[in-house]
Amino acid sequence: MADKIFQLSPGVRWVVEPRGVQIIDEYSRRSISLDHPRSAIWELLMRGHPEEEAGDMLAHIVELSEKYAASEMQSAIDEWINEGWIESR
Amino acid sequence: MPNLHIITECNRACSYCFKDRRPPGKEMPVSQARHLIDLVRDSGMKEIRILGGEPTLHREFVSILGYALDQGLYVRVFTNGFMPASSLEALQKAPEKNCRVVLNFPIGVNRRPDEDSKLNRAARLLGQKMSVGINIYRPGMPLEEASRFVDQHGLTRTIRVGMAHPRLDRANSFLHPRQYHRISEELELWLKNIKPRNFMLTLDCGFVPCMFSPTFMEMAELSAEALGSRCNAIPDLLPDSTAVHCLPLAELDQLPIHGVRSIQGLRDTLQHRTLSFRKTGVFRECSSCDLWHRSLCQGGCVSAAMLRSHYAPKKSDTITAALKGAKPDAEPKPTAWAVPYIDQPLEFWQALVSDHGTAIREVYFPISATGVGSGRPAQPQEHLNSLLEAKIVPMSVLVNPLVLPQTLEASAPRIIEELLRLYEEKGVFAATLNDRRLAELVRARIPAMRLTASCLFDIAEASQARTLRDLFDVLVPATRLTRSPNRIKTLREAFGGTIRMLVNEGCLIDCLDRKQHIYEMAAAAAPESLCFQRLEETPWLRLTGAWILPQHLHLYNGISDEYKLAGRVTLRNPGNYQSVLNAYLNRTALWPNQIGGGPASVLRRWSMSQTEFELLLQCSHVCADCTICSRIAQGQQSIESLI
Repeated sequence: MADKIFQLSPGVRWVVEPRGVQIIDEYSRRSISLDHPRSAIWELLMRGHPEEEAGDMLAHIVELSEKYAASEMQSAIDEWINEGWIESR
Repeated sequence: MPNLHIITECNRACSYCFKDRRPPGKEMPVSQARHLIDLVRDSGMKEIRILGGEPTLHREFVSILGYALDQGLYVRVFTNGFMPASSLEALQKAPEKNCRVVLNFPIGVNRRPDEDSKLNRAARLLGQKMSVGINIYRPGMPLEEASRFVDQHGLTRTIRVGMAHPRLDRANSFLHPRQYHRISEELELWLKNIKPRNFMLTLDCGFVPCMFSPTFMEMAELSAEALGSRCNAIPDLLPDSTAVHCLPLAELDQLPIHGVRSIQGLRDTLQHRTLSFRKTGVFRECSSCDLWHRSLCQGGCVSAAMLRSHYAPKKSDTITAALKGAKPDAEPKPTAWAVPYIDQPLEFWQALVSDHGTAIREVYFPISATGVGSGRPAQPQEHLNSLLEAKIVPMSVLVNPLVLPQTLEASAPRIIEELLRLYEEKGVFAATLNDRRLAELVRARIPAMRLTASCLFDIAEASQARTLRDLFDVLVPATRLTRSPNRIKTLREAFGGTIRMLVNEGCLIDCLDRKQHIYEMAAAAAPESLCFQRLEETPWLRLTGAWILPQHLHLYNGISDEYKLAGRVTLRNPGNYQSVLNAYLNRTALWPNQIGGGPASVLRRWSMSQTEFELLLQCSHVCADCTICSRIAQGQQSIESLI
């Protein structure tokens, strides 16, 4: 697994809500809501944890197998990059 | 009710003010103010609010106020009280039933005696016509100063209370939501003291019901619903002919007002474009609040709610400062423009000169007698000779085909002979060339002729610019640098002469087909565009074109000395020509599809806010690796249908 660090794409803001994370794109006016566990993945990545480290933490936090956590992490990252929410730093 | 901001200049500098940071002194032309007042009236609205900056500093304030009153509108003027005598007199004379003045009263600041005296005089003369408004930007402000001032001068006993909301970029002093409860306690205490003396408070936008006690709500005669639903598109109509949702969110959207048919439509558009921001409230608890779920509260000010958001701070502040050069606050120099000849009678040009005077540095036309021209298809020139004879405006000639049609030795004598004739007989004082050797010959024969290096030289590097510095007076940089102001700045230093930027070319910055396109255009065998298919597949690429909107031209202060308007073909309609030129000279807003330009021009009403444009100025222009423009374009889809 590549140990990449990710950052917000320009114009993207995110807000922690009681039940997850709300993400807003100033430019396209899109928004998405993330529930657990994706909100946890988002927070870990956006707080600067490298991908691999975030995967380990996620496995611990949500009590998943490391393999399943890594798979969830990869799937989320691919989706968010593809949709323009985040980019590799 | 819409806010008409007629001027950006203000004679105070309040730290909480959320007006934008555009250069001061911008006045809304009277014709524009009248048009907007008509629009408000025709939209069925009964009231208009006039603001600034300090609106009474507008040189035509009296006229604008009078016009609004004549339209039967109820006019509310927001002032800081430091107003010229003529404005004060006009407000004094305005009928009380149709005109009110809201004094933005500066509490908690030390005022000099002469400032006190000005405020006192305004209040004394306006009396019951004046009410007081305060803006709270920190806890512990001496609220009673406002009620004391009202008592002292017998003003209206309803006091407007506003919270200083944050600009989206957090550039002003503002009240943070975590301070709301303390503010509510202070307001409650104040109201308890003054209500027995027949005072009342009205609360402006952004207050949330949960910050107040039931006692306050009862005293202030407020319902939760009335208080909780006050964050809406106003809209604010700005001097540069743009409309924004409200000043704190001005960075989010600046929609040109041209073509807007109703204020309601404009408001709906701006409102619609903040919907994604309304999914969160000022407090984390908002989304689980009963008032929120029953739609009795929107969660307060959208901009304040965004304080909770994490984001990558924009580099816009840095880039703007860098763009402005060593003297960021220096006033921009008067702008000189090179504008295209279109085949219109002398009266058209006389009117143009009358309107714009010395701002028109030159009117350019292609050389015709040599068979060289500008390399573009010939355009009608029926009235050109009478314009040359009249000598009412400086004229310049284009000699910039893609390549000279013959060797220099064969073509130069004819070209120079014609240039000499134009120079001596018609007073044509300047020429635009794109051949260095030809320029050397012209310079040797007509040393006083002002020579401009055409953008077709494609000068993008300092080393190239240096080779032209002793030969040319003016340099038009490669249009692919249009969105790279820092690189133009480098060219400017290397060239040492005048930099003239083309503002409405429209070609794609990374275009590889431009030379062939120009060649085929000249041969009258051109398809409409060589980039047509590419633009069909990726229409957002049109946002990347080499153009600058008039409302963003100030970002090039200190970078470009002159500007050039293209459009011998696309702006050949005289009405269109005049309106585009007026907009550029007055820096009023246009949609990208209104500016004319090349085949990759924007075809639809796409809004481009200043923030978005600033972002494009700092990008790497590697469109294949970037999604910003495509995402900006996604956000535009509903605009045209809504306005």
